[in-house]
Amino acid sequence: MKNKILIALVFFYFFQFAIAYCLDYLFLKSKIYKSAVIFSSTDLLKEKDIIIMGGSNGLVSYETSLLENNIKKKVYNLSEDDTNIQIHLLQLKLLLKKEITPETIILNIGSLGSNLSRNVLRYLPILGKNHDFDMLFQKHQTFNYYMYRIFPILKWGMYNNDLLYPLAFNIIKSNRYKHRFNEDGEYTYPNLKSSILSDDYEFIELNNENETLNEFKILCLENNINLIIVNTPYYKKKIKWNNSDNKVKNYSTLYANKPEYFYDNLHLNKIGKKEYTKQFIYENFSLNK
Amino acid sequence: MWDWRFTFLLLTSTLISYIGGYYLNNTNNDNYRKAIMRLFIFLSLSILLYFKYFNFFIESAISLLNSFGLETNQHTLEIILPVGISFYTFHGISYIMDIYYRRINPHNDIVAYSLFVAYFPLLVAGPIERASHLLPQLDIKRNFNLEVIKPALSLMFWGFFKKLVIADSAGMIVDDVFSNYQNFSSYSLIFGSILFTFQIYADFSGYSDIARGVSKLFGIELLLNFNFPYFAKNMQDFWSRWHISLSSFLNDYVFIPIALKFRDFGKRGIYIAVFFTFLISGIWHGAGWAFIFWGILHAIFYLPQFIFSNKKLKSLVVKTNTSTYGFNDFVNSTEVFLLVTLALIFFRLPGISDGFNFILEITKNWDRFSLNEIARTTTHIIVLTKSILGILIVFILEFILFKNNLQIENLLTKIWHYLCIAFLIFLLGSFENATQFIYFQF
Repeated sequence: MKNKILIALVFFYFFQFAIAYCLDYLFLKSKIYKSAVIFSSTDLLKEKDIIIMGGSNGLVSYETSLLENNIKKKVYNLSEDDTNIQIHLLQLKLLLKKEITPETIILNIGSLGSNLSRNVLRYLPILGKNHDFDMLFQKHQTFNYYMYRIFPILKWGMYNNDLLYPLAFNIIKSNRYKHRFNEDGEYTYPNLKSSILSDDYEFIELNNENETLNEFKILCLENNINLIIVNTPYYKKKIKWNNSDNKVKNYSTLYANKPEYFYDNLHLNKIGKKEYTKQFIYENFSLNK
Repeated sequence: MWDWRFTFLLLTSTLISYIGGYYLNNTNNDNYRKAIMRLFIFLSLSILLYFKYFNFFIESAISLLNSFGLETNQHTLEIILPVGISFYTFHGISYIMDIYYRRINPHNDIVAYSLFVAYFPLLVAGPIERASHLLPQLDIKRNFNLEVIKPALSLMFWGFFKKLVIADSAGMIVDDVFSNYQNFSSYSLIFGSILFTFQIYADFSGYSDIARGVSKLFGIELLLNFNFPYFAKNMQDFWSRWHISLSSFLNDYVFIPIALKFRDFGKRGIYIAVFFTFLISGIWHGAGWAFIFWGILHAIFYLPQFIFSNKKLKSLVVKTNTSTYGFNDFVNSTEVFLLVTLALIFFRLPGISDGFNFILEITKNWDRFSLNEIARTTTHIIVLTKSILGILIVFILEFILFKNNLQIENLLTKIWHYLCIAFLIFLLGSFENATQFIYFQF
């Protein structure tokens, strides 16, 4: 009896490894999240001249087709909502590992937090397969790191809302399901009739001497990537940089008096996105000046 | 909240009831015994009253004075509600009452008695145990037995399923609806209220199942706290099946004594006893007018079946026959379910006015209907689907159990049953939205 239980336990232990491995494999073949896009669309990304990175601001602020038509370059938006500089740096390392070196990276910064943002879970399928991610995850979530390494199936159960079911949708929709982004990697907030804007003014301080940001800059420099650091427009929020080297394009107050351009205080809507993209092209690329 | 200093509070509460029991046993004079019983119950309750209700009374008194135009300075204390205080206080009271009614003898072993008061599986959310039921089990030598593992695992897996699949999934939608109820249509508000009725059942009965399962591992049987309440045929039946440990406690120690006190008033005396019992039930749940109103509503829903019939009300809790459940019974159960849902709106919202506003919004917004209101993101769609699937699984299984007069530990007996439930928890559980049990706050 004891032997049977032992055999069953060993079987289930290896079985969960096999299931998790298959799920990881299917995930990295999909385009559900940007984390999967880096692995499944390597060739597509290699063709791009400009890659936009950032959190939700980066995701909703650029009209890719407008950029491409005006500057005659190929652009992809790799921004992911609810991520910060830690994830952006990880993305850059993953790109470089895949030998994806775009001409320019537009890095949109909303916060420089030292904690891992919630959506790090979207990278869990590469746990154990990528040293940079393993180091990052182990540093911030040591217990979870070992738990998911020993029982990889747990990450799929724990985040079934964000990983397992989107993967199931993807299989149902013949590999076409993408979580809040289109073929160009962008997402658009609608123009709301009733405003959800707050009139409370807020200052956000960011420090240019941030360790992770510096690492990002160095990696770009080493790989001949032109880096443009940007703060996208906010409504009634102003970003102030400490120790600024004046290389940051701070547009946080660009539309301070244009509430009609915003979906909420942090994100542009469809109109704002178009106007901002035009302004961004005008200020940063000389073709239409 | 928990703080190490609250250990002294637990110790004080334990000592009060222990000493009370000792003095009760040392006299045969009925008047003297009654005085001792009242004194020690007052002492036990005073701790609960101070920590749970002090600020509520002060704030209520101030707003009452203000409404008469008398200006007062708001002066409340920053009192933290210690975890489990309602439950261990009631354990102590049950001990004193059981000795007073000579159901048990005082316990000599203070360590075993302390274990009864602070027994960990039920310290934070019950069931409220009776001294006459739990204390004798602590006295006997218990050996670990492989046979108890099966029912214990059944209960624990079932409890985790209810909590992680239904309560935590439904909670995300319910929180959305109740926190912004002004922005939802009537349909969404009704749906949200019904979902909360399922959520609170899954949350609370889930905890009770886990507590009973954990306890079984130690060879200790806890009282059954939920017995398929949403299949109840009337409100009396409902209260015989919902939070049974509290309703039977209130029946024995509040309803019956008050009913006896007012026996000369005939039926009106019984109605007064019902009203006070539900009032106390509301107050026990929390220091807020919304809980009190919830209790009053239940009294209002409970009484008509006796006012308009010749049925005699001898006990607050009387179960009905389960084997003959037909279509008429289903209609009655639905009626009970909707009344419970209506009362729970006040239970869920912070104030009585919020409850009425919520109901007003239900009556106003019939013209706009959109599924996107509730299922507005992919995550919401997933969570909603999971909770509905979970509700279907639980209620189909529980109906089978209810019809056959069985409990879950009689149904889930094989290892593959546990594996199936574990697999379903893995697939349908909402681990990321996991919240603490609703009844922890009481």
